[in-house]
Amino acid sequence: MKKQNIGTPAYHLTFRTRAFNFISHVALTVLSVIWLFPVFWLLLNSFREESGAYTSYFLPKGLTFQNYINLFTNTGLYDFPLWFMNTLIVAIFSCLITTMFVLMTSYVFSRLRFPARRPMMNIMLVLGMFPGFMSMVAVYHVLKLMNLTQTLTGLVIVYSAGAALSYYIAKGFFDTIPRALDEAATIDGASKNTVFWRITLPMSRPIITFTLLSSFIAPWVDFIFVSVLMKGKADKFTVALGLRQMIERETVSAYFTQFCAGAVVVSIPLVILFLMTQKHYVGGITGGATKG
Amino acid sequence: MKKLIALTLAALMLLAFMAGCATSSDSPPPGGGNASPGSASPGGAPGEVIDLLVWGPQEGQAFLQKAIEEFQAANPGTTYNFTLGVVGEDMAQTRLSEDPEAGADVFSFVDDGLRNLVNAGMLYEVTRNADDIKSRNVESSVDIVTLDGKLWAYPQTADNGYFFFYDKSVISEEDVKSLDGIIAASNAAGKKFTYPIGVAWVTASWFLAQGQLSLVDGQQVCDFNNANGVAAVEAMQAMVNSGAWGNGWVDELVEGIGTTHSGGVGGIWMVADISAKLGDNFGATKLPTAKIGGKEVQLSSFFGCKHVGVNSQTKNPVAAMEFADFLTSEAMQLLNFEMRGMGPSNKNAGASAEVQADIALAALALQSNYAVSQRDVLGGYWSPVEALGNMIINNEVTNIQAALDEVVAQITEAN
Amino acid sequence: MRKPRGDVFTALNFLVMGVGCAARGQVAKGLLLLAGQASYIFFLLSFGLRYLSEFLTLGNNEQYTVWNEELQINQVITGDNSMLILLFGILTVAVTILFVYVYIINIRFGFKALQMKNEGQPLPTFREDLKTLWNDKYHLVLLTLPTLGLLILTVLPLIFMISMAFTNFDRDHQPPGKLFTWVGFENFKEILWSNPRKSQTFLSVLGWTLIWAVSATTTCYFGGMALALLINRKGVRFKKMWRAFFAITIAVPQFVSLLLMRQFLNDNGTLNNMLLNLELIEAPIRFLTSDLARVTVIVVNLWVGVPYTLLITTGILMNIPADLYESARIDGASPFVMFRKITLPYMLFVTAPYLITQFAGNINAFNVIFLLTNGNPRSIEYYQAGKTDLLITWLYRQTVDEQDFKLASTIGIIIFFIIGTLSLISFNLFASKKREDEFS
Repeated sequence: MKKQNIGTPAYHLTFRTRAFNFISHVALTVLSVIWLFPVFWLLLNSFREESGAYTSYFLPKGLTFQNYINLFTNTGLYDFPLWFMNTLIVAIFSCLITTMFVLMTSYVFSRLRFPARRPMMNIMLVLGMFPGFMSMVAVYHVLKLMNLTQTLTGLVIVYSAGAALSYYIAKGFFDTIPRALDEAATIDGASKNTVFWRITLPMSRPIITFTLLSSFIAPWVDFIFVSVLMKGKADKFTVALGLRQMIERETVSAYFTQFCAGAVVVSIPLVILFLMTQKHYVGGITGGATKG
Repeated sequence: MKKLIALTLAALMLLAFMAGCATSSDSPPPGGGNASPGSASPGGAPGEVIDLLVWGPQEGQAFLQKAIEEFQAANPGTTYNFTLGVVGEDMAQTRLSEDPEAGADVFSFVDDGLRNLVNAGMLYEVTRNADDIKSRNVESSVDIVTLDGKLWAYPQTADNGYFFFYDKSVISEEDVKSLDGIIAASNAAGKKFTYPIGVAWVTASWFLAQGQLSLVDGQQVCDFNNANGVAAVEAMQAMVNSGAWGNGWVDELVEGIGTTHSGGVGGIWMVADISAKLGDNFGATKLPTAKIGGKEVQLSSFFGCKHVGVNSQTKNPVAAMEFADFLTSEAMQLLNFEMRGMGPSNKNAGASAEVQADIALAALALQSNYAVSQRDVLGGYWSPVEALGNMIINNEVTNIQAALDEVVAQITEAN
Repeated sequence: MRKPRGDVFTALNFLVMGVGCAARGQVAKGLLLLAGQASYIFFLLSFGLRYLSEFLTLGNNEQYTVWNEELQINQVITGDNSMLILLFGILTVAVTILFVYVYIINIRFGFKALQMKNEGQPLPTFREDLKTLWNDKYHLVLLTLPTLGLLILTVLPLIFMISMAFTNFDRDHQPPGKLFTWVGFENFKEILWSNPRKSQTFLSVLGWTLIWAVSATTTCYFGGMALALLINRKGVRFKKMWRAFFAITIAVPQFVSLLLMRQFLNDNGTLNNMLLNLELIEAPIRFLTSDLARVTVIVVNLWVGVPYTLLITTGILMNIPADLYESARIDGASPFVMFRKITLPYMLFVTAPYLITQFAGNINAFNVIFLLTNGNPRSIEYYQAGKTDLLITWLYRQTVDEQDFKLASTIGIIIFFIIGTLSLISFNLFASKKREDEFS
C-alpha cells in the first residue's frame, strides 16, 4: 500500500476514476455477499429456534440462543466443551511442534550446505504430494506399537510428524534474509546454532505467524485421522469428529441447529486469530520473498 | 587401560546378545499365531473381572448404558468392567477391519456388512442359545444373519427399509395404494412426490417387483437385463415424466413435504421430521403398486436390519455372547424402541401395543411382506444401478437393453 | 583414505561396534555405537525376526475354529495377520538398513581413529565431537527429529502402501480371517490393460482429475489475484474489512461449509426454490446430480480457494515496485497490458512454487469432492465411479466400500508417480535456483 502511494501525487479525481471506484465497491459488495452467504446461513441456522435439518426457506421462523446454551450445558450426549478443549490442546501442541520442524528444516535447506541436501529437498518435495490419509491404517499400527493410540499425544504426533514436508515456503523466506548478517555473526564467533536462534528466528516473525496459523487449523477440521486413531473413545474426540456425530442419519434433524452452533464456536478462535495476524499474513510469507 | 575398556565392551556385547536370545525364546510364535483368546479360560473364572468393550452410535449410548446396568443386575455373580465406545453402526465394519484386536467385543452393525465381516473372519459364530435367538426373532431378520446354515449375529432391529410417506390432505388413503393414484392426486394439487430412483437402494424396488435380482443359495443371480428389466425401466421412465415426480432423497423430501411435496419414499429415521411438518396429516404406508409391462404390480423393497455381533478376536467370547444375547432380548428391544424409536425384530416386542401403534413401523411391517433381504446384494450392485437411475432421471436412456446389459456386466465383473 | 594396518581391535570392531573407537580412547563414542548395536540386536530378537521370517509369504497360519463342547462355542484360534507382518516386516527391513548405515560409519570411525593415532594426531574428544554438531554438522542436529518423524509416519506407511499393490489384499483375502500374499505385477496389469473396463475407467477418471486440477488451480489463482488487485486499488476504501470478509470463510471448517452448500444446491434446496419462486426456471437445476456437477464442483471450489489465494497474493502484489507501473503508464500502457506485462510475469515468478503445490493439492482434493458430491453422479460408462470422482476419491471408496485394498494402492502409486514426476520437473524448471544463489 505504502509503496504505491509514494508514486501517486494527489491529483483531481476524474469522473472516470470516480466511476471505477464506485464499480469496485459495488463489485466487492456483491462478491462479499456471495462469499459470506454460507457463513451467514450457518449463523442463522445456529440461532434457529425450530429444529430440523432441511429447510427450503432461508430465514428461520424464530431465533434463540438455546442452541449455544445446550452445546455447553447439555453435555450428556455430546460433550462439546470437552471436545473443544481436546482440540485446543492438540492444536496448540501440534502447531508448536510443526512450526519448529518447519523452521528447522527450511533453515537447514536454505543456509547449510551438505552432500545430501539436493536429494533430500527433492525427495521431501515429492513426499509432500502423497495424500497422507491413504496410509492412515499403517500410521495407526505404528502408533499402536508405541502405545499411543487413543491418546491426544498420538494425535499431536500424527498432525506434526510430517511437518518437514512443507518446508518450501519458509525456505523461500529464509533465502531472502541477507547472508551478510550470518557472516557478520560468524566472524564474531557465533556458532551456527547461535545464528539460527539469535539472528534468523527473530527476523522471521511473518513466516512463523504464517506457519503457526496454518498448522493450528488442521486439528479443527480433520475428522478422518482422528476417527481412525481414537477408535470410538469419545472422551478423546476432537470437535470435528464430535460434531459429525451430531449429523448422523438418526440425529441430524434434532441436533442440526446445535451442530451449526458448534461450527460457529469452532470458527470463532480461528477468525480471531486471522484478524489478529492479518498484517503478518498479508505482508508475511511473501514480504520476504521480494524485499530481500 | 583403554584395551581393558575395549575388552569390557566386547564382553558386554556378548551379554546383551545372550540376554536378547533369552527374551526371544519367551516371545510368542511368529505373527502372533497364538491360541489366545484366553485358551486358559474363555469362559472367565469366578471372581475374575471380565472386560467388555461395546460399540454403539453416540445417540445410542444412553440405551447401552441402561442395558449394561440391567445386565449387571441380572448377573450379580460376575464382575464386569464395561467400556463404551462411540462407533456408529455404519462405521463398525470399517473401524473393526482397521484393527480387529482393538475392536469392540460386542458391537452393533448394519446388515450389508455381514457378508464381508464373515468373509474376513471378524465375527464369532453364535452358538450359545442359538435356538432361542432363532425362534424369538422374526424369520426374515434371522435369515439375514444366517450364512451357510450358521448364525453369525444377534438380530436387534427390523427397521432398515423404506416405505411411503404422504400428506393425507393431498393424497387420500385410496389414492396412495397405486402409483397412478399418487400421480393423479399430486398433479391435481400441483405438488411433487419423490421416488428416488437415483438411489440404488430404492431403484431396486422396481426390479425386485419384477421378481428380478432373485436370490439362489445366497448368491445373487444377476440377470435383470431381460424383458422384465426393460419393462421396469420403461415404468420408471413413465413415472419420471408423469409431471408429479420430483427428484431427490432425504433432503428434498423433508424440505418439501407439506409445502411443495405431497409425499415420498423414505425410512424410519425421517419420521420425526416429517411428522413434525405434517402433524395430523402425517401418513405412512407400504409402497404403491405400479403398472409395469401392462400389469399392476406391487413395488417391492430391500429389507434390512441392525444386528449385534461378537468380535472373533475377543478375549471373553462367552461373556460377550451372553451380553449380546441380553442386549437383543425382548425387554431390551422394547427399551431400544422407547428410547430411540428402533423397530424391534423380536416377535413379542413387535407385537406389543406401543410398537403396533407406531404409524411408520406399521407401514414398514406392511411393506416387509413384499421386501427382499439385502444381505446378498453383490457389492458391485450399487454404483452401476445408481448410474442407471441417474440416466433415467436425465432421460438419457435410449437403448434400455444396452444400458441394462452394461449394468449387469459391471455388477458381475466387480465380484 | 589410505587404509592403515589394523590390530586386533580393528578386527574386533567388525564384530562388536565401538571397540575401534574405544580402543583409541574415544570411550563415549564407542559406548554409543555399542548401545546402538545392542539395541538393534534386542529389537531384532524381541520383535523383528518373527515378522522378517514370514515376510516372504506374509503368514502361514490361517485363523480357524474348534468346537468347544464345555463352553458351547466354536472357539476361534487366531492365525497370522498378513497386514501386520507386511507392515512390521518393512519396519524391520528399514531398521536393518539404518543399522547397516551406522555399522559402516562405525568401521569408518574405527579406521579414522587408528589412522589419526598412527599419525600422532590428537583424537577429537567426545566434547569436541559434540561441539562440531553445533557448527559444521549443525544440519544433523536440526534435521534429526523432523526426518525421524517423516521416516516413521510418512515414508514407512508409504512403502507399506506401495507394497500392498503387489499383493492380493482384497475382499476375499482380509485379515484376521484370511491371509494375503505377494502376486507381483498382477494388479498393475489388470488396471493398465488386461481389464478393459477398469483401465477405461482409470483413464477417464485420470482425465477428469487432470481437467479438475488445472481448472481448480487456475480459477482460484486468477480469481484470487483479481480480487486482491481489486481490493488493492487506490480508490477502494476499508481494505482490511474486505480482506477480513473473505478470510472469515476460511475459518468455517470445510465439512460444515460444504454440507451447507450441498443443502443449498440440491434439487429442492434454497437456491432452486428461490429460482423457481422468481419463475426464472421451470424445473429444478440438477447442480449436483447431472453432468452439471462437474461445473458445480469447480465453482464451489472457487468459493473455497479464492480467499487463500487472496491472502497469499495481496502482499506480493503490493511489493511490485511502483515505478514499473509508473513508467508503463507514461508509455501509455492500458491497465490490461500492464497486468500482462508486469503483474503476471512477476506473480508467476514469485508464486510458482505455490502454484505447483496447489496443483498437486488439487489432484488430491479429497475433501471438496468427498463432502460435496462423493463422486456423484455415478456413470455406467465408469467402473464403480462417478463423473466427479477424482482418482483419490475413487480409490478411497475402493477401500471403504469394496475392501479392494490392492486396487486402491495400485491407483495410489500411479497418482503418486504422476504427481511426483510433474512436480519434480516443474520445480526444477522454475527452480528458484537463481534466487537461491543470489544470496549465497
